[in-house]
Amino acid sequence: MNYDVIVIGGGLSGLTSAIHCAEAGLKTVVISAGESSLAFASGCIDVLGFNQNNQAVEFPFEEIALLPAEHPYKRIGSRSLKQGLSFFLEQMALEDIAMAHNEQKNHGRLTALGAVRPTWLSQAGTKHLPINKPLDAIKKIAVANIAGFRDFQPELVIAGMKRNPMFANNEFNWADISPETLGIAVRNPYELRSLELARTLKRDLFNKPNGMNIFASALQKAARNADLVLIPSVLAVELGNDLIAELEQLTGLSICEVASLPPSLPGMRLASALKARFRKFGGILLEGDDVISGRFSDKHLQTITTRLSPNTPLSAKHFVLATGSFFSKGLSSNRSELTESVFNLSVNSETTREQWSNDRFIDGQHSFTTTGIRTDNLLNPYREDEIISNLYCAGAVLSGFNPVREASAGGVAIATGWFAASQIIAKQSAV
Amino acid sequence: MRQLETDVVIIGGGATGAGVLRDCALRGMRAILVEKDDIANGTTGRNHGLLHSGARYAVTDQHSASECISENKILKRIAGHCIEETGGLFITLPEDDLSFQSQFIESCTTAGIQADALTPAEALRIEPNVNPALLGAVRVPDGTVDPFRLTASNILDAEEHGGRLLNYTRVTGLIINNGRACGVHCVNLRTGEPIDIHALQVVNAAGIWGQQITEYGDLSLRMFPAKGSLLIMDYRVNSLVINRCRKPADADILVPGDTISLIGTTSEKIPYSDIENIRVTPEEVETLLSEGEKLCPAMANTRILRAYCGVRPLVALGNDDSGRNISRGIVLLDHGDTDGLPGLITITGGKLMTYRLMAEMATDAVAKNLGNTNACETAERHLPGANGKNTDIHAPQVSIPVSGSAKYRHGERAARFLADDKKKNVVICECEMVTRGEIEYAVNNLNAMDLVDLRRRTRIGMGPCQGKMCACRAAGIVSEMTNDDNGDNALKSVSEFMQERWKGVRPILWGDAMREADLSYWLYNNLLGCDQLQAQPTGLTVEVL
Repeated sequence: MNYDVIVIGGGLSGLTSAIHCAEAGLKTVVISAGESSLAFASGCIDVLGFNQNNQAVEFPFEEIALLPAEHPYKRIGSRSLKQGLSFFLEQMALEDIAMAHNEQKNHGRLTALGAVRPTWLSQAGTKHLPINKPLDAIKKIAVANIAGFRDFQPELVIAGMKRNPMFANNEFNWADISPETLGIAVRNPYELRSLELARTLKRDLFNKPNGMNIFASALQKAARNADLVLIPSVLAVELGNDLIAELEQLTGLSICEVASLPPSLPGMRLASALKARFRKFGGILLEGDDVISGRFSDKHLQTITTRLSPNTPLSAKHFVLATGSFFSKGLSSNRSELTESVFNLSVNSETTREQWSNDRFIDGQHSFTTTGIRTDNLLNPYREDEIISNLYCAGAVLSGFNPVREASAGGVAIATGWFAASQIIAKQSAV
Repeated sequence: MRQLETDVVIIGGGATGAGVLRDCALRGMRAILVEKDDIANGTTGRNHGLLHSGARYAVTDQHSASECISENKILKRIAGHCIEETGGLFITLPEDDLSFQSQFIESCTTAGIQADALTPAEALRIEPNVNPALLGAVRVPDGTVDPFRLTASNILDAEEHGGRLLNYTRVTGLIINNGRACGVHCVNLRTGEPIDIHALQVVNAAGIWGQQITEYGDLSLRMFPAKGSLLIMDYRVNSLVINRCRKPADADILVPGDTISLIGTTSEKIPYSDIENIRVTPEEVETLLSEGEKLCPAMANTRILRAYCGVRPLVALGNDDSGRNISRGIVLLDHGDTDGLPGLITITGGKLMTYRLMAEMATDAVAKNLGNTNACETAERHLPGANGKNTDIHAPQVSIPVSGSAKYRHGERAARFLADDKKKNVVICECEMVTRGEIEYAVNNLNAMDLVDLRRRTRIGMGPCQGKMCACRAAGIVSEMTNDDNGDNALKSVSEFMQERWKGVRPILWGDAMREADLSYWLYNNLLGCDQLQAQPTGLTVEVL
């Protein structure tokens, strides 16, 4: 099979790249191993939340200039970053995922442990919080858990907020909305994960004529006149934000959904919207397959083979590698080395196993988190000291940044994916 | 200052201390056990959990071998829920001397250990994963024992007979009046409250930490710590314990247990000052893997779940500071006889396998001093949970894997939490099938105070995901139950739990362990922002939108 572009990896970066290519009329295929890291993500897009000194960042775009030269943002430039983000915003809007940002500024998003993380772009059901500044207009905060849902602990959300001086003047309450109140008819409602709970609520409650009213009055009771009500993101797989707006109208409350433990529905909403976009542009999505090898010649990747079709190589003019880090299997490790999984591209890494990580798990600096593929400024990788000029790398598989510590995973994924596609589009139109 | 008064105060919540508490309680003596951390947190919980038949010692130490086989038979009777009668093999590989086998069988027989020679084909039939290059094998009645459950069951039985546990309480000194030990000064490490416990007898069962206890009485008991490291595999690769049929050496025991297998043990002498800061080195990992693969080649393709290490409490006898005269057997000292400090008894040395015998010996000494003539019953009386195999627990709402795991861990006591209550029956740790009810039971009945303790009572977080999915769930439950300072302790225990899991993962950080660690790091710090809860970043002025 012959394609213009083969994108390896169906996460945020790969899909953004693929949509851009497909929209430009290129024959594009995405090969995806399965659920991406979006299922473990907040559904907000972080651009740069913390600087290199681990201080929270107010104006992320202004900080780009201060990043080290090997940082992906530095390689592609802040103009590409902004263009990539606008492209993403447009695509999401076309799929009815309303997202809001505050121009140049970051805002805070609340986590299920009550931490406030700086982010740039949030879905409509999520309230923008200040970062390290008191919530002046808000006094009472209520946390409502739905049907005793296991993957959201109101006590922990509150305990986390109480550690933060910005909530020093707030009062907290929490309550469970019981499964009986909601009329959920399953064997054990307490065992449902977010996805199942959302589907069950839709089937047993929201599809009924007065379903929204039942839920609204239960929420009102749980909220006890709070100024802000936090609920886990379990109301809907898609269009969860619409339900929240509707509930706000019915109750008069200010409601904020908080991403639960995985699967995280706000992240999955982005994943399904991206896939829908890609298909609408005629893109081909091959899910459940892995690329296992590639044939290189003349500093080009010529063909690839996949696990399910090892005897049918796929060829393309351009390739994008957006396979993610270790947990997405884009990077691999054995007892003595860290490697790139598919093509054995050159990676930056410390030499001994002891140097890959730090004694402290949560607050230590781990070098494995910045390990990734070495590229040039066009995001073309090195393979045996040669640049592969028709292969572009994007997202978490890249080196030079720490997606978690900097809070930059989403921004880097989108911007590098978009940038890779733009390079390909430019080359194709030059032909 | 809180003042408590009792007959016997026991220092150290390992298997031995727990055994002494139970023995004292069963003999009708009032007893309090003081432990600075959680029970089974020291050497008890950091070995290979092998239920020795004694065969391992038969050639080199007949006395230990006889003790082991005798205790082996007792534990199978009284602690069925803590034990799996897997059987064990002693295999001879091409690099070993096959002639050692006959000497081995002969020594086993002398010690009263049944030892049957098998052909390689017979051995492979009962243990298909054993190295097929083996020249021969001997089958012995080895098994496995869960040290956490064993210790918790001893405590539970003791408490049900009037004994008392003060965990997270550190002994800070001996109360000595007129040349006699009359109790201990302690401090509750959670609250900072000082406690004096006045007792007629003080039993030092603090293992390697026992040296510090005797120093409080200006006595010299020299301990020679030896670090032992082990690896846990993510699968149960073997069904029988596999040993090498040769003199004991590094990494020559592969023990199946619960859902895993583990390979051990290395041995390295360390300075006493290092006992709190031990870690598994990359060299030890290499030794354990290369030696382990000789026992069971399948190990080479098995994910390593974690690494851990413990310290063996070896004791020097007399005034030997050199360590040449080290005892590997049980050491019982009535310091009234040996050092002119009546009221203090030290029980140390020995092994997990002989914890009950050690407890009996220490309690005999206590009873003699107190004039208590009641007989020891610990060899006959079943521990709570031991009758579980024959109990039919009615739990229609619970799936068989869940009720099976509950009964496997808690025996007939599982009836206390397998309820007709949907909320209690919900599975919190899916790797190890731990329900909310089991967590509540462990907190209410088994002295679990936080997530790390819960792991030892229930196996929560011990499976392939190493707690990343269940830590927050369980922390929320503990917080809800204990209704402490609005969840702050629960939040703290989530980070502590992840750190404790990390300690075991870091030495084997490659392959699937790396993938899991990468995902955990992403979840806890990106999705949940856990790192920000440790220290707040500064320098921010962002307005409400």
